[in-house]
Amino acid sequence: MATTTATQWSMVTGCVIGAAHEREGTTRQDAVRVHAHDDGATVVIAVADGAGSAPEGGTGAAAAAAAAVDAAIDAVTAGAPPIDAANRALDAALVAVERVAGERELGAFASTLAVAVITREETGAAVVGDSAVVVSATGALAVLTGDPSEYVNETTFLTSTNFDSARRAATIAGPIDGAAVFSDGLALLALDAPSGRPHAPFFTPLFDFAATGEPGAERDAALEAFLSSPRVRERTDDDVTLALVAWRGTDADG
Amino acid sequence: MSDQAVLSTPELDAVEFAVNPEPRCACVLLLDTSGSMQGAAINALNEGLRAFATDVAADPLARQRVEVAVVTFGGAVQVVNEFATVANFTPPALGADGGTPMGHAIEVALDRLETRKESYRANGVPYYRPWVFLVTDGQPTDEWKAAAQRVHDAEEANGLAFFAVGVEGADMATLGKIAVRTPLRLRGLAFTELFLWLSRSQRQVSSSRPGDHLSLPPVQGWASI
Repeated sequence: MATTTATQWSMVTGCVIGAAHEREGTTRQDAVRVHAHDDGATVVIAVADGAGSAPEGGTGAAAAAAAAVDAAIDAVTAGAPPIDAANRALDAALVAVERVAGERELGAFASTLAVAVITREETGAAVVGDSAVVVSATGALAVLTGDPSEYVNETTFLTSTNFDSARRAATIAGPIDGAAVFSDGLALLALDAPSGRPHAPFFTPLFDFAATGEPGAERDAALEAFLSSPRVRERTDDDVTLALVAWRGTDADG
Repeated sequence: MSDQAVLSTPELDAVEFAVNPEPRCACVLLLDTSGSMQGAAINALNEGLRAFATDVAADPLARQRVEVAVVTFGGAVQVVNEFATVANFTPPALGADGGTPMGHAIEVALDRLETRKESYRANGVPYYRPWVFLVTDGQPTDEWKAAAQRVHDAEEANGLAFFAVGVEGADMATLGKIAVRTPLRLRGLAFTELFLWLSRSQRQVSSSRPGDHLSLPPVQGWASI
């Protein structure tokens, strides 16, 4: 188990500050982490969206995303099923945010969190709030979002009192081809209304994009250019974060 | 006979939402146009409505997001304006006559809101918690307790925010039984200040994001404590 295999996932991330935050002179409130496991086949993604009004929302989001990825990697390494790893990631994120907040008011660090833990055997996802996970398996798309709230200006945060009842988790058996984790700024484009299902014309080209070319700063810049384009900006004035992974390996042994 | 009512059908709504997919902030103005409002009061109310429309329309985001419907109760209950964004809202010139069927008017307003929410959901348009804004100078001349119960249930379910404003002569005790929030008394005929406050509040709500703590503007400009 000590050997390290280069990851067989192609990973691209983009994170763009929203027009509303630019206007108000605030910094980006989204945080994204993608971590490839040493086994080459496991990858963990976390996207956290700090509450716009929470003065330390960006700090809370960064702490949540970092702790979530570490906890999920530890859990899968210890043999936990991906859905358990994803759930533990949410718990660890809350503990981390509480630690960062210290004596200060927890609500000031409010953030949503979406985590995907992907192995070749199974994918587990856990979400609180309005960030989302979409996976692509044999051409079909599936989505997990948090407990939806009726109103556009309301959601549940890691730090909310109803965190435990509003969190959602799901699992998909078997290998997947790609996954996307994104903050709510993209929801209007990425999910069909009113069904809430993933919008195939949005995801198909994005997964193709993630699967081709060499991952790196250039690919990230290309994704950020897309996220900054008028087509995206005219639908949201919020921060927009998108993490994409696409499988490029082979599952045949040897 | 031609009907001047604004056409509103599910098909036309779908077109409107496709053209403008911005999240919606619905607001029903529930206005007393009974006989006692005749004269200076109704004139001041009409002026306030015009100030409201102008002020919201000056905000590029709010004019696309805030949707106003006007329901009046003076003799009969009338939906004077169906829901329309402020960009498409023409403030009515209201007259005053007749009794005060406030109970029925509240029921009509709540029904209209439910239908509007269904339309938002069917068209995948996100929305904010709607407001109902009741302005009256009298007391209900019809049965109002069932309507009051509906207001309480809806507030309890976080389905809407219901505000009541009493103009001089209003039965504040009954208003207090209808609204969950403490009713406010209008200072004189400060309708313009009242509607500018409403505009500022709606502008604030319609640009709010998850986690925002809404602190509405102070009411001292128009309300007497």
